[in-house]
Amino acid sequence: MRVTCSTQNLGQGLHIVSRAVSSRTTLPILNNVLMEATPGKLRLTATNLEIGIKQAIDAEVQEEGSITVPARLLTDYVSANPDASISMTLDKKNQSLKLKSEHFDADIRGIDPADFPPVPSGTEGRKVQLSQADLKDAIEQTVIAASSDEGRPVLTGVYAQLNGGHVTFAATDGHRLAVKTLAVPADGQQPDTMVIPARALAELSRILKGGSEQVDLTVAPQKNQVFFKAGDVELMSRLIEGTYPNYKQVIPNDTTTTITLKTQDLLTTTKVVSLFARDAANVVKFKAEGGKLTLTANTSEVGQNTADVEAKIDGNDLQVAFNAKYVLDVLGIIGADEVTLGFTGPLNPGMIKPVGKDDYLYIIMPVRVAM
Amino acid sequence: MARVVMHVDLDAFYASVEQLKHPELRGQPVIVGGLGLAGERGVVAAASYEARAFGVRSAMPLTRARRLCPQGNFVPADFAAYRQASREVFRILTDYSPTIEPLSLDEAYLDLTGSEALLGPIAQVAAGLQARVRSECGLDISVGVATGKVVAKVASDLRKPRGLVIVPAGQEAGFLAPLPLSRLPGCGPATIARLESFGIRTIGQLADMSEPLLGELFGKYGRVLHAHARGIDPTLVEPPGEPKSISREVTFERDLLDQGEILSTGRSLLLDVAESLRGQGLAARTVTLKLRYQPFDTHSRQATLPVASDRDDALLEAFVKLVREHLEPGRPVRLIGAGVANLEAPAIQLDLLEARSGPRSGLDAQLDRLRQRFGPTAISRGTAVQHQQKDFRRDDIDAVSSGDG
Repeated sequence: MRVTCSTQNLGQGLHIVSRAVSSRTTLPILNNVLMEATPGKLRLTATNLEIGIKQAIDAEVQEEGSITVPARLLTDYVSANPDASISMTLDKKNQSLKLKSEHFDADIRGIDPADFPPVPSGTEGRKVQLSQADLKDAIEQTVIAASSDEGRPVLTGVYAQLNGGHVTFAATDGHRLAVKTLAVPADGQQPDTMVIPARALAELSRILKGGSEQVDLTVAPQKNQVFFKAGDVELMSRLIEGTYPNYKQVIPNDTTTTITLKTQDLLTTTKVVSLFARDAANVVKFKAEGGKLTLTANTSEVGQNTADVEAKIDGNDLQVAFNAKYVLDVLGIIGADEVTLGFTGPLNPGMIKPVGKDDYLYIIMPVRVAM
Repeated sequence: MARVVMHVDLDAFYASVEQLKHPELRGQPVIVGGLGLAGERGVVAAASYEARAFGVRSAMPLTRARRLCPQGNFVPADFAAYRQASREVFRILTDYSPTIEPLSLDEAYLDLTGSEALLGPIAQVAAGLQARVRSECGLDISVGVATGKVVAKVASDLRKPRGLVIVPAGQEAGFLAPLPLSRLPGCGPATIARLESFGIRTIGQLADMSEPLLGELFGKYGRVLHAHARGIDPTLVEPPGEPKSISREVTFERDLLDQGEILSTGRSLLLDVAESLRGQGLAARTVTLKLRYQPFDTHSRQATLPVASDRDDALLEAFVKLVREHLEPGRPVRLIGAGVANLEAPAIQLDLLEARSGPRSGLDAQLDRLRQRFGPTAISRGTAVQHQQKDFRRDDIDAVSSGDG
């Protein structure tokens, strides 16, 4: 293998794929990045067996071949290297990679690529095309609600349903639920459902650009893997097995108190008020009374903080308490200037929706407190 | 000025209340415990003095009590009646001092320091209190008065029933000296056995031991023991405030090896704790486990919950995990304790899915109501087998301090 490429391209490519490199592994080769030189392209691949990321970068390939080398060292070396281009030559006998640039000569010990686990591409299976910006939004708006508790693996994923005409993403940790729907061209097929690890989607959203370029979502025919392809980057993830809870039944049909207000006002006020809730389970109380919305937090040892927020209130007076984090999480990513809050009582789920959009819904279960 | 601390103890309380309820039982041996079913397992919660003459004692298995006293009247515990009677007695106590520390339904400390000007000489005050409780509640009490809690308690216990013992300031050590070790609160069978191996039989001999030696033998507790033996106990009479923690523990009659039995005892203790936690309108961030293998080989472990909870299932899960992690297999266990700490007003995060918090927390409340109405044996979770050594008196502390019982 003999290949030359721009240091910048190589650095960017390594930066992307190395997100899939295991941080803790007992299998040394999983610390490595697989480099494959094919005509005109250098293909980089990394995997932690749960997800795999591939990126092809433009390169001048004098001789095809492949090797795996420690991803961390190579990434750090390339990103610190000030030279414009790097030439890499494989010493096949010693399985080591020689890197030569204007000022530097390096030699990195590698491992035989035959030992590298296969990272398949999504060539077969049901395919859906989405815009990168839409998918990125959908991921950011749902992964916040996924659980980090490995005790219930299915909740650590995002549920996705491919349906004729739309794709729905939903995530819940049992305390809140986020549901996003994207419109797609109808393909006349039966609905398909899957649970994608939230971690894989979070990595994908880092890779996705916010533009109108397309991303292909492909479900493996065995329904055990999902593939995303965006330009030169591919991400493969295993799917989580198990039955996802029927989240639709917790979505309130109706609300008895509706509050509309500026997203930024609610965000700032909740943030300030919640400083006083840090030692009290992070609980902020919302009180809608006489056309006024008041937020309160108090901790006996710390003190208390109260704020009025400008809002339009319809329906019954109400007091309800929430974990401030759950409120702040959604306001940061809801992507609308105004939001509507809908409540039916202090012990019933509360709903947050962007004003003027029907594609997103966030439900929070209240905290039961003495009011 | 020396403090004046009074210890008040109702004589054979549960049994006396039964005799009040059922006049035909007066003068008869009465044994309270279990559900009143023939042949049931369970322990004696209380025995009347008539029954004690047959050798029946608290915490003794009912089957043994039946053998010792076949003509005894066995009655199930009626906690509602005991709480009611206790409230009436405590109402009288509040006329004597604002500083009352309830220990259980039938026991309390009163701080009467400086009350002489108001109430008169302490001997008259104590006798007057006994007479009032007798005439207004129909119950007998024993009273001990001293400068500290420990000596006052020893004094009230000395001449039961209807005892009245006053230990003047400065005579505490002399008062305690001739008494056997078993009279000293906190001096249990294990401590006594250890001390006897050094030839120590009386509280006076214990007081004469060197403090470093006691420290060596019993750790920190040794120093406390030494002070108590000399009649020194500076702890204050403390009215119940906001509890900082709630716990229950059980000493097994015989050391236990059976892990399942140890765990199920721990579970039922924790469920008791959870019930009083809810009774006081609190939630806990921390769950604690106490295990004692040998005397003075006691281990305490704790786990912190992600959010404060007052729910049986959340607290139990953490507790069972603690037991599984820390119970050393193959070591006989003498004592297990379960508790909660880091208490706060409950801010319970409700659950969206499968309505986990709705019906389940409702279930806890339902179980609580059933147990309050029919007593602690009325209903329990399948895995929490009723342990035999349940210390009813510890339950009562919460019943009293939570106000309404």
